[in-house]
Amino acid sequence: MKVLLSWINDYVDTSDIELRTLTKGLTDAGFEVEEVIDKAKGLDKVVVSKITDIRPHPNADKLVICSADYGFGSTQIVTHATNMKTGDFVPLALVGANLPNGVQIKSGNLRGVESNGMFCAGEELGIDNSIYPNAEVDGLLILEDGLKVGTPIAEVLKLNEIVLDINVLPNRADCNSIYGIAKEISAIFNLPLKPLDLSYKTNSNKKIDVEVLDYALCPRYEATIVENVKNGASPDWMQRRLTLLDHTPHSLYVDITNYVLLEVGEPMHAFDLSKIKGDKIIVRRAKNQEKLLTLDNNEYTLNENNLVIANAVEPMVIAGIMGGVDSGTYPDTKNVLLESANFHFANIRRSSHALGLSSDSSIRYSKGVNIGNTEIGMKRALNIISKLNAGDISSVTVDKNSGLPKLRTVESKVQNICDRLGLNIDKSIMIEILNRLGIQTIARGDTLISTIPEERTDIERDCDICEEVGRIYGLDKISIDDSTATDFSTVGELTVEQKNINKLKITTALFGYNETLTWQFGGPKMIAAALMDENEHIKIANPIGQDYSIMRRSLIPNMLNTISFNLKQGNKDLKLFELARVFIPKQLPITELPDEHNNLCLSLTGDYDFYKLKNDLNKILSSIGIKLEYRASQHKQMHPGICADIYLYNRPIGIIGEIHPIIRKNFEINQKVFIAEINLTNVISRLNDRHTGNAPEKLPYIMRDLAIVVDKDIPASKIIETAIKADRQNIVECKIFDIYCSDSIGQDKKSVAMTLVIRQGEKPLSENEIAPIVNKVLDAEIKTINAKLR
Amino acid sequence: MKDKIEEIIKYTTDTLNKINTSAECQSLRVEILGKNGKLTQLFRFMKEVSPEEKQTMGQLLNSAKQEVEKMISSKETFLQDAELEEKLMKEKIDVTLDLNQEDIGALHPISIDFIRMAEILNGMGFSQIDGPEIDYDKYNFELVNVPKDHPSRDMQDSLYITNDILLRTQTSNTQPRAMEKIKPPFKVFSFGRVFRKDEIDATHTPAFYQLEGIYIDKKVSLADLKHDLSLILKKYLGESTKTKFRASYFPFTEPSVEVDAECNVCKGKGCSACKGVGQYEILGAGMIHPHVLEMNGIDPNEYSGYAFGFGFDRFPKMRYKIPNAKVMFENDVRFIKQFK
Repeated sequence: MKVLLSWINDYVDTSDIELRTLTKGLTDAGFEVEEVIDKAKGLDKVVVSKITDIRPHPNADKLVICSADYGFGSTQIVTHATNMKTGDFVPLALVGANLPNGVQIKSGNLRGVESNGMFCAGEELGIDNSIYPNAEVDGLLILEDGLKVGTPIAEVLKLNEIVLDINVLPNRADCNSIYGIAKEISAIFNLPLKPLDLSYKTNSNKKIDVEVLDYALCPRYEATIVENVKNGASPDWMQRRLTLLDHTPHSLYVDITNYVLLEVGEPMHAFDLSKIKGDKIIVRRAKNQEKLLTLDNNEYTLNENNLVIANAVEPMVIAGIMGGVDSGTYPDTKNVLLESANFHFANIRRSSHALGLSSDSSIRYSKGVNIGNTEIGMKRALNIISKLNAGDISSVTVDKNSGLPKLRTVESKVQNICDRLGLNIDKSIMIEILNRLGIQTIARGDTLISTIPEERTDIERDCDICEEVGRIYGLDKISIDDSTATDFSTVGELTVEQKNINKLKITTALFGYNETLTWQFGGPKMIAAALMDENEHIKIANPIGQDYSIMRRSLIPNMLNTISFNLKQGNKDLKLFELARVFIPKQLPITELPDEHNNLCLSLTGDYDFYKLKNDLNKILSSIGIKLEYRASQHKQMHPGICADIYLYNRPIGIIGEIHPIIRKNFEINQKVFIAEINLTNVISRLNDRHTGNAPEKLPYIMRDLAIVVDKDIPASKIIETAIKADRQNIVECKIFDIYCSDSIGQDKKSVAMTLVIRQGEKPLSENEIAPIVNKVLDAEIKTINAKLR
Repeated sequence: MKDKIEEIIKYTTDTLNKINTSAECQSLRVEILGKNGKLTQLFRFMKEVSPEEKQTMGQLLNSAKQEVEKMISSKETFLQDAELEEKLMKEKIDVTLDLNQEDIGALHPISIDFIRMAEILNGMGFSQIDGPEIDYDKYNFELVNVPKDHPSRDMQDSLYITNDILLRTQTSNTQPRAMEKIKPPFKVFSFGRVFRKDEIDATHTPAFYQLEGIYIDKKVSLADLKHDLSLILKKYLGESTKTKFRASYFPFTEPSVEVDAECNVCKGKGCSACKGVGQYEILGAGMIHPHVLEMNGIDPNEYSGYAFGFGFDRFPKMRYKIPNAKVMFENDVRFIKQFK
């Protein structure tokens, strides 16, 4: 929120505080100053000059040559302006000036005549009529006569103003105003705070009938009639302040309501009394399909979630958000009805969002305005009207409310405050700080009893008092040396799952895979491209966009997107992995939380094959003591002949294979892609520390090769399993080293060559003892899978 | 006989001087010491030698045999070494060439920094807890004191699946879950993706990472928070990191603080890197609101606790000077590979 420092000074005198100290004090106390705006910025080399001579330019009809006295001498300026005469006082930007509109002034030569600066128009100085009369004329800004030449222009324009842009936190909505910030400054710097002038003269007693039908949405509504108004332009000082805070001046009554909004944070509205049909204000929910044409010339269709201010016949204003076309004041307005009201912040916020309509008023209401502020806003507006003699104010302010909040007290213990802050603050200092904040506090023994001002809705219990003391005392005074809770010592640990996840990531990277991180949600297009069913997924009710609307159940679609992107970027031979969560609903639509699994997805594309991926996956998983099994299978997503289900202890946990060419094409990938995805839930739940350390056998292993012919579709895993089962005691391992097909063996047959690794016991095995072992394997292969010896 | 021996030794010496290969050495050995070798033949004359001379001649012959063998072997070893060296030189390869090179991969900078941070927090006594990314409104908002009318509970700010199930907006959903399971005192941290309904642009991604830690014990104070945080940040951001507290507001903590770090470019004087303020915001923190403790079954009169949390994406971004958030999540391998 922007505040004008000179306006703040109306209530608390900050002239003795250095600007840097002021901003730091505010920031440290929770009112972060995000920007300091110097309104004179860009005007530092612009001074008042007097034109002493104007003569034609020898080479250009549209230019003239002027001599100007700027206080430090005389200079020559070439200009194309025409609205000045000799003797006029005009702003002169000297060489080196860097004007607010970005123009830099250099000495130049215009059509052969030297020019040492530039006379300025109002626009070039970044000002309009509200800052200086006739600032908006086409041509130079003609200043008033008799100014002292050489005077800095910022002084003449009274632009030596500082605007602070302050981040007011959501719990301190009471500070969204000049006066709110003034109060804080007074507390932080211990400076006296001047009260608001809320007095006014009345000379009528006319009133209007007000009916509030929904006090939940409108806890308070005040209305005062002002008759015989003069609704012209507002006074210069008011226009100037509004302009400096980025509000465009309109007419007196609109400007007054805006002025009060800025000064005390109360959004107000001024009606032309004659437009209120039936002389009655009704605050009610809109009817469904009720329509209102607003001031910005848009028609809005309302419903019963929207609150309206209506007359006896029709709605006039979308409460707190925007007025209808007939709800304002006009040059010929005779009598005004001033409204100051309190609307429920969440309702205004939701209505404003739903209608796509926001205003200064709705923004303020959405942050929350205090119920007591209704009265302060009204009185302050009437005070200004009274001082400006802008109308006859009625002595009757109608005040409809559902009950006003009572003052609350909060008790807190001095020791608890110190303990919580880790600061030793004297009781008397606490009391002094709280009183400075307007929180009247007395001590009963070691208990502080604080009376909470109505606007401080953020203060509910002792910890809030603790915060007030802490932030004014200075939270940065807390010293790390006062840390006391050192008697608790514990070992910080990761769970087995967390350790295994970190380990798997590192191992996978060491095997050459680069880690990707994709979004947990995708779009229907991506899901469809991966031939998955959108309706088996959890959907977000209010997604950021279609592409972010479906919670993934697999990492594969995102992986394909990433591969496609990288190939288009010219990256070849990709080895990628992602380890992240997928979401498996227990039912759809969901009524309870879905299962969230950590999945590991590996992909290869380029000069690689299925076996490379499988081998890598096995090696990576063996790093955490996991041995996987593979069984041929078919999935829509995969090449029908190159796909397996991955098993762990006979439970399927994932798939591996070559991505089906149709899916590849859907993702605009023109080369083979191999992908594996496994659900890590049961994989990572055990720590790999169960191995015992056996000594190796004394005698070396013996190798014997064996070649058999089997049906082509017998999987290697079956052949190996059969071999090992044949003689578990002696066969350590069976490795297939060659597969050979030819017509001579038979079209449906293959020759499989394997090496049997045979264990010797205590004594070396003789050939006579080895042969039966090999035969046992052969017999088993013959019996189990109908093999023949090659 | 003596002359003959000397003649053979001279012949051997002369021949060896002319020899260039180890194979010739072997030939010479056969020629002199072989079955019919020149020296071997002299032994046959031994039976014709008189008994008095036998001993002398025998010694003479034997030492000649040894001498010849030594001369040949020495030359042979020398030549064999040279021949091996020559053979090895022919096997010379270009060691600057890379063939069949396979690179290792890299972790994403987010993972790298998280693992780093987890180690620091483990060292400080914090254990990791995980929570669901899709959670009940109760854990995400209610039990951490976010009031019903708070803007974040509106549809326009959070991503809902049903009326009371949403994508978590903060890792704080792990707080009530931890308090449900563990009795104080405890120190835990959690890390993961959180989701807000922001418009996506150069600075806003549809999800971001958060890391948060809590410590609940008897008499935990803001001084403990400052002590622990300054240690954590020194370990993570560098030993010269200076942390500052200023007042702030979060629904789950009271008092709340914003923790700033002194700008390490200008050392607090104000420069373009820190937009002239001399410091930058690191994280939000505070004393856990007593109402949060109460709602989760912990007596605030007996226990107090601190909590801190921060958006994590910006730290790797800051440490590695990554120009924008977009490149962090496009997953171009040329970007990721840098972090090997």
